[in-house]
Amino acid sequence: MPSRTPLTRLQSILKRSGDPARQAVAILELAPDLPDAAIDMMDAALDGADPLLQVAIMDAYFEMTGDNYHQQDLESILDKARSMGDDGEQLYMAARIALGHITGLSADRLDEWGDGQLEITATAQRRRRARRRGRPSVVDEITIIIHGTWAADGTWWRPGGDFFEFTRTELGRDDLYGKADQFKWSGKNKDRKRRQAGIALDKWLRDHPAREVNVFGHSHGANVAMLATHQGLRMDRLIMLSPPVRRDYFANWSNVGQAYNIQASFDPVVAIAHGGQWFRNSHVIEKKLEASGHSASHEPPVWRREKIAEFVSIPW
Amino acid sequence: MASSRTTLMQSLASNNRYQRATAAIELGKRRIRQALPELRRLTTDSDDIVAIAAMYACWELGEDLISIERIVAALESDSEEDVQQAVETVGAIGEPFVAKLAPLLMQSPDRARLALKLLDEIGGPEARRLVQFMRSDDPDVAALVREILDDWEDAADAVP
Repeated sequence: MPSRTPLTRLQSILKRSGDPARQAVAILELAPDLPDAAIDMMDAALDGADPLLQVAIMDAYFEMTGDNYHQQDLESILDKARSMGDDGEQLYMAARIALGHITGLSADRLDEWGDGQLEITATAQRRRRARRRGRPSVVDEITIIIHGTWAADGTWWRPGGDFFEFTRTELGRDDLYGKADQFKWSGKNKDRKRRQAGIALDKWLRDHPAREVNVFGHSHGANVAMLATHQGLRMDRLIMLSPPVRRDYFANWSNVGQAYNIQASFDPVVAIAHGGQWFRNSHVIEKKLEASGHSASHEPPVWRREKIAEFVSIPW
Repeated sequence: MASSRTTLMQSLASNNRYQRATAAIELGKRRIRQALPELRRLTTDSDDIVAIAAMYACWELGEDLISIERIVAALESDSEEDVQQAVETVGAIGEPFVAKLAPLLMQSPDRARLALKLLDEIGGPEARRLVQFMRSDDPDVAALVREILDDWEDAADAVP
């Protein structure tokens, strides 16, 4: 019988039903040895899982990647656990400890929140995974999609979403990034938040280096991408879908191989936002769709009908 | 090239909802008072996108016909573009919208969270006052209040 790898052990733990606390402990024990391939499996297990198991998965995710992607989720779980009173004690402790790992809070301060006697507490204060040293590995190509205002919870740009799957399959972008740490930003309708997101995108792409970078940005997500080019980020192609065009968000064009701007015939969202629809400069190739509406530019039927892939010269 | 006043006025009767809405916004931005009667009528259009665009245009022309219920309906819809249209409208009107949001804070936790998110978008002293005095037993609402106040604190500390 073949020996069980950490990945197969994780698979078995996640499939198991029963005591979530035991499952959580098992995952935390396994985390230092899990390969990156476990991330997709953990991500898929998050939806609908017991909150205690969710905390363990998020904690293990941080252990593996050093990324604070789940910090807000953990804070929400912590608030819910607090409101549960005594019934939420174990969940509260687990979430608190997981947050402590992310925020760098030392273990001795954990006594402020509990007696530290729970098994999960001991397991969480575990041996640490040896962090990867040096630069992250460079892949050949990466394609990402950036959502716009108040769309961080949207589905179309995530794995399983219509535009994500269309891009991956019909447009043939196997390199479209859809792992748990997929880039996202607050989506707040504020200049300060877009600029922060531009800086975050630059950092994210430095952590996910690729020889060729392609970016789809919808609405202000396109402006976030342009702002990132001022941090030094270079992208080979920037496909802007219905951006509110503002001069103060223009890219550092020397860092953009080719930029495209795709706009609907009538778009009340862009009309009311500060800005216009058109760049009218030599850096951006522009297309006016026959379709109307702010979402039209990321709708697969519109892409098919109006041959947008050909316009942006896909296949690349 | 920008559309003429006549074209925009005619566009208010278009079968295309997006064309109607875009024309309304443009007429408001250009302060074309001649369009006011038709814009008033469109504020009760059954289509949220059109109604909200007309409300915005009337606001630009000095008439407050904003229905917070229509804005909330758009924000609570499954349509991302309806949500974005409503958010941009609130952002474009800005501080005068704050007083309209106050009653929502007393409604369900979901409504209170929505109002808080909009107050966060608007910012300014009046919005800050409302958020600071917001009290709720709902943990999600209370957490959002803390998050907004912390974020504003960070913004105030930011180097200009």
